[in-house]
Amino acid sequence: MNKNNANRWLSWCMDKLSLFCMIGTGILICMPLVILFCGSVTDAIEWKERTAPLLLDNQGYISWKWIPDYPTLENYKELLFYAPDFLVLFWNSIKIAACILVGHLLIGIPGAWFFAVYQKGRGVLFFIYIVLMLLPFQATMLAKYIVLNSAGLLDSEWAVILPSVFSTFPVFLIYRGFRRIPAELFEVARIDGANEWTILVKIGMPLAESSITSAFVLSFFEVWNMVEEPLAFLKDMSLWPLSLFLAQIDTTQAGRACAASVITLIVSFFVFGIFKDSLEQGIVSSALKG
Amino acid sequence: MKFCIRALFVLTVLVLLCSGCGNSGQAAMGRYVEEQVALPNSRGNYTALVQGEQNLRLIESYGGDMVCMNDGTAFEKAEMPPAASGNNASYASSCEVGAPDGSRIVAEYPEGVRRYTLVTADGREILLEKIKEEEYPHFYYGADYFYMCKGYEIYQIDPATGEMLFLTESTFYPLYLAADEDMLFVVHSSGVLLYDLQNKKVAEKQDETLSSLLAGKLDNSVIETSPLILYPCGSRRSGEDEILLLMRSGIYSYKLYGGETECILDGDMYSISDVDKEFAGMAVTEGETGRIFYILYSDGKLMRYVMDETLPAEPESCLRVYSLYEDGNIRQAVSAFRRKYPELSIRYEVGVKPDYGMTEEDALRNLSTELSAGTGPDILVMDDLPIDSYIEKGVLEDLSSLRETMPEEEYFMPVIDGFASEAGQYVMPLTFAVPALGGDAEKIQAMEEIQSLQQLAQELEKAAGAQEGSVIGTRSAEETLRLFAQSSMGAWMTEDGTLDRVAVEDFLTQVKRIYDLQMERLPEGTESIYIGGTNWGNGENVLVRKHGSHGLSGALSVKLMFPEQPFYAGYLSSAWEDYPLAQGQLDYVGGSYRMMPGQNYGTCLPVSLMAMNSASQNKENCRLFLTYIFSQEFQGSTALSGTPVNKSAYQKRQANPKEDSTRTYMHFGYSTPDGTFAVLGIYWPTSENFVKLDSLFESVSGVNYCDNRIYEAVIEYGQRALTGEIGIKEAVDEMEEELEIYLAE
Amino acid sequence: MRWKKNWKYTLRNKNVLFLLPSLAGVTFFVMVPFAKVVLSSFCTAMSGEFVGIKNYATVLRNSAFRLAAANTLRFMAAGLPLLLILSLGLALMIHRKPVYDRYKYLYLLPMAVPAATMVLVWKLLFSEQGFLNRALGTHVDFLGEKSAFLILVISYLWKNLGYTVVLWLAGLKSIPGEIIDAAKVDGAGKVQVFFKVTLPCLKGSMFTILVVSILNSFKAFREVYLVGGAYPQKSIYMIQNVFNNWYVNLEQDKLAAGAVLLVAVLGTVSFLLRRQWDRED
Repeated sequence: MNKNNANRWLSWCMDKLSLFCMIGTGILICMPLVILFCGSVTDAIEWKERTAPLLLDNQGYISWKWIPDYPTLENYKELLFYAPDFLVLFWNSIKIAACILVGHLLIGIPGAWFFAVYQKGRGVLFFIYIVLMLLPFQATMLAKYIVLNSAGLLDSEWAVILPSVFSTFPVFLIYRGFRRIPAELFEVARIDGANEWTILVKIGMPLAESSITSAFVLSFFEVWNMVEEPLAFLKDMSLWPLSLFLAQIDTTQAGRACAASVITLIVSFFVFGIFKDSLEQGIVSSALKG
Repeated sequence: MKFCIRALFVLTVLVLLCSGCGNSGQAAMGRYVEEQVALPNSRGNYTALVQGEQNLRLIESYGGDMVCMNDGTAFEKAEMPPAASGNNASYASSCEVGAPDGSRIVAEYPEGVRRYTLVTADGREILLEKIKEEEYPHFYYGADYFYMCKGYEIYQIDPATGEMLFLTESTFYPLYLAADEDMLFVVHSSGVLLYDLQNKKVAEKQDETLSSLLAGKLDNSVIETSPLILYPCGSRRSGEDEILLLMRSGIYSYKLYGGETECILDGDMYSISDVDKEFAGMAVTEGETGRIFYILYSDGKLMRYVMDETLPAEPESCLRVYSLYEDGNIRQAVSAFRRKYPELSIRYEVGVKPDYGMTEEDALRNLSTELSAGTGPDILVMDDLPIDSYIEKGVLEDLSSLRETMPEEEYFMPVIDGFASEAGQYVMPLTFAVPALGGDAEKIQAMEEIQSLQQLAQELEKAAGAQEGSVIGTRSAEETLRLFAQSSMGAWMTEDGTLDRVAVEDFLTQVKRIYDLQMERLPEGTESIYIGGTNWGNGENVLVRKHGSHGLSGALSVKLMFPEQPFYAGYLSSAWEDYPLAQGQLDYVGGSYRMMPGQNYGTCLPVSLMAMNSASQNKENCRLFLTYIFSQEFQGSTALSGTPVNKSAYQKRQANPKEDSTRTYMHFGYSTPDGTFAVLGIYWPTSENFVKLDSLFESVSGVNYCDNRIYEAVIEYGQRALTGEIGIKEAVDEMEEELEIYLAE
Repeated sequence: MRWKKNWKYTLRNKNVLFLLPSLAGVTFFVMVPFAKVVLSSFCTAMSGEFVGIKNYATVLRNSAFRLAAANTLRFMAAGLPLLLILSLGLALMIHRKPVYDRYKYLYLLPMAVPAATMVLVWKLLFSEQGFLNRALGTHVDFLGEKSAFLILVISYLWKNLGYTVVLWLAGLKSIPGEIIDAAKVDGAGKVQVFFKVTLPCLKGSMFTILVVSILNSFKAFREVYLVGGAYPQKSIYMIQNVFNNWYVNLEQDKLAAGAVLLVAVLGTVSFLLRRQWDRED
């Protein structure tokens, strides 16, 4: 009896602890975001007042109010309607992100499939894939520049899209998802007469759905916020993505910067949301049809 | 439903992909070609270009108008109504504005009183009575009407009847007007005001984006020509909402109310970007390959720009000149070179573009990429670039052979040779300035032997003992440091490029003496007041950017504020913002000047350091460019920032630009101690003045150059040492620590 | 050798078509540049003369490089274990109570925040006049002192917690329930179940997560750069800073040698980890 009680009590403790941790982490995670959001509805004058100690570098402190005295949508208006470049950059980002994700779909998934099912992760090639993925950008930046230059791709969107499409990062993540599928399922399908492509689309993809989604999510955020590649490979500023618009932020333009960040955040989640749904639907429904 | 969304999504992606493909192909071909349109001789200068339904008309001040039909190839003398040709000898008339049909408004001075007359297309003269004598109106033409700005008021004038219709009073002073049939664009210093001509009231919907594009593009000096032209492509009624903007940076197409801005023509490759010229008018016609642009420049030249599809978008062998920050000297050099050799294409690239948030680091990285990949610019301006590093890596070409072609007597050779070593000459400064110490004439006379900072500090202490108040005029630690760095910074580096502790400690010790002395004597509250004349020059003046506003003339403004102050110091060059201004003030206060004492005494501050990329494919043209910009022809004809290194050019510019030397050359406004604003008349310096200046420049024996990081580290930590926050030894320790990684890499 | 035979079988098998597009692109955009880098690590920067292993010697002796390498190692040694353990804990908690599952995507929010914005928030919190100082009543520039390291680690955790949890959850979900039940039937207690059954099944996931986290630890460079510029506070001066500065100063030879060394180290680590955790079970 005692053991049962002890177990139940332990269970209850664990529950409460879990709840506490979840909420705690949730708050910690959201706090900077709340700061951002509040900052974006604060107008420039209030920002100046508050951050005056920072700019003057004196002995004061930055003051903060969670809700500004004069909330305003001025920052958003300025960005969306008055800055002619914002929309252009925005569509550039969307275009680049869409192309890259389509590329991952068409090229990355089959690649991951190959490594997972036929090579089972062995082999030198996959190892090279992993290791080269880890290299920081500066290490190969010049070589990539020369390669792109010789292919005549510099200063067009393809200079940014193509290297990212062939990034081995999503291959690596999706590989894990495919690996989890028991091999027996494939055998059964093969016996039933399905060819390899059908197996990939109807069995592999639906079962690895969560890995695929997480790979796409990470890829999307990666691409949406990429800074070094466009800066290095795109000289023509009309091709720049949105991430470079935010690249130079200082506290004097804090209101605008916060608004731009919030917009970026909302957009990335919005796009991701649509995409995730349609992706899941697509995978599941194609499985159902099969 | 979900299927539809998915399908739509895939479709959008495909469309985007295809549009992406198309774009990158097109961008490579087609470039506008600039050619000059041959014009028959005219008596006066062409002052405006206007465009009508069928024709283009060049307005000439004294009635020698030229007109041509829309193809713009041949201009013929226009038939003018009799009265406008100014043949009447009793008064001189000049055309203020003209219309394509020949009607014009002329200013006449019968018996010395100015009046304006409208001459209609059929020759009637109508006096514009509403304009009073003391008013200075400006006239513009747009879409069949004349417009007039009288102060803040804007009127519309009917060219057929002379009727003046009051439109509105603008809150900002109008600097430029353009109009089409239903919209009037009033450009002022903060943006643009849109006026609805159909309903005769200020437009309900203003255009913020256009305002922000145009804000600050025009300054308050309004003359016939301007660096901006706004060209409406058509009226709203016909569904057209595009306007063209012509600015120094190029021709842009802009769709009203926040639409896209597209650059049609990049000004850098054509005369559009010449700083010496302004625009007198623009016209646009349709041709086979697209739009044809006509631009009339302030020097009377009419240029036509036609798109040539067969040419690549970038001229193949374009000479590329690069500097990290905008350099006014280089911009003028590129313009002048383009004028002299119009068949060669040259382009000026600036690394740091502030509008797009590109930082210095990013620009440096991009430059490194290009240099490492072998596609770097041909000419590099090394002012903010790491010279030693580049030389070590072999990026720069040895210019010794070029240097040998330069005759000794023609140049201030010590300045150029300051960058020569056994390894070669890789960098040559275009101009220079000399750090100078000014003060009451007797005191300067007595100080002839003084060369080191320590001696200077002693002198200042002596002078301070004799009177109250400010001694040298600096008002902050940073200012003091940067000032005396001008004559000392070269001594802070050792042979192998590391920090010389001893030298820096000595520097800080002496400067601290001076700073303490100055600060305890500076009257309360004067540290932060703005003193007129201390921020002389704009950002394109490289001296101001590098060495702050610490020119001698700026320092003299502080002296004017504190009349008892015995000394003042700053850099001095022969540029008109520096020397004539300084000399005028020196005469007023009875002062004199000499070279500034310092650890690197006798050196100058080099400006616009020119270097050639050793991997350039265009070396011949590079040499041509360098030879040209060091020649007397260029350096003697343009107002450069700093003293030209070409001695004969420098001597040539000693001539008074204004013929009448008894009149003042300029007026200088400054703040007086009692808080008022006074004006000093500055005369051009006399030949004795120039003899003294010559001897100052001749006595220069080298260049004062220090690695930028070391310089900034000394200034940053030196400030704390000066204010007493940390000791001098600790400051140097911190500097060493900060630089440790930099030097170790 | 077995792998040779495997490859021969693979190439004959038309399944290799799955890989070809990926391989083509990766070769051109990743492997060829890297091969160039390896080649240039044996030559001088601008003139391209062959100098053998001189560059490697220079790099290894370079004190800036050593400092950066030490810092990077320190950062990973601090950040990685913390990240893995914390996220595993959270993932377990979510796994126990599936009702929390839908909130896991909330944790991804930090990942969407661009680096520049992070820096703004840092400045608000940690600068001399920031909120933290206000709470403590001091005026310490946390970003300019050794504490910058701590801030970096915390920021790294904050950013990467989300997807790490998602990845762990995917792994946890794939553990067949039968194995756990079987273990319980055998009389194993909760703790034993965890260590002897759950963890081993997660080895594959652990490998993935570790690799991705290492990748993202390199990405921390962006924040470091935005806050401290090219020469930040000593304790957060990382390998990428060195690479960046060498790049700007045209020291491509040292950069290449450093990159190859880095790849060698990473390669060794990945190889060892794979043998441990990614064997076909």
